[in-house]
Amino acid sequence: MLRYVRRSVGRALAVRRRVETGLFEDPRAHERSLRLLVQCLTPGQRAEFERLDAFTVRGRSGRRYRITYGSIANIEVLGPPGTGGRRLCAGPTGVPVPAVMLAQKLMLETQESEFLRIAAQGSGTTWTGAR
Amino acid sequence: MGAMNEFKVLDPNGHTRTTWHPGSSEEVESARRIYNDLVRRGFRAFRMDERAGEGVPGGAFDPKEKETLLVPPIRAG
Repeated sequence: MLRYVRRSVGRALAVRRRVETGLFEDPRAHERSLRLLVQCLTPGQRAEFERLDAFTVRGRSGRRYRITYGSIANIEVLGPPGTGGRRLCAGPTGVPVPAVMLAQKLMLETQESEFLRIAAQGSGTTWTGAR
Repeated sequence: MGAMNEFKVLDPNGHTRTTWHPGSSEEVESARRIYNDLVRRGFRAFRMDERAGEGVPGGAFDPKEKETLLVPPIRAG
């Protein structure tokens, strides 16, 4: 728990620095969206997010994806060893990072094929299976 | 008057809540108008079970639904 609070404070400070330099959104918006993301995770995803700033979701196909803290090419397609580097890049724009991650989670868990179809249209997606 | 239902819209503020009493036709209609407008603009609705951490794709506005999330259109990066 202490580690999670420390990470949250660290993230909030990083966001504040970016706000001060005009690069990012309101830290209160970020904090609000982070709270909502954490509320909407399963207990297992929440524990993973606290440890790693990332969590794993499973699509209807059974395929697993790791959503890491970020909004650009932040989804790793998990597979056997040696198949790393497969990434998806898609999400809503104009919202704080935790809101992007929440949207990605909901889409991958419930509308996986639609999400993959959209992601395949972007140059940030490096997984040919999504095309 | 009973408990209020709500939907949350992911937006630049993190999210914005719209609430209504299911028994108030005026509030229900106001919420329905906002919801329908967002869906027309490409937002996707998810009925949330926050305790389970699961969402289910939603369809038309349901005034009896306790909690719905509306996600802005997804774009490729």
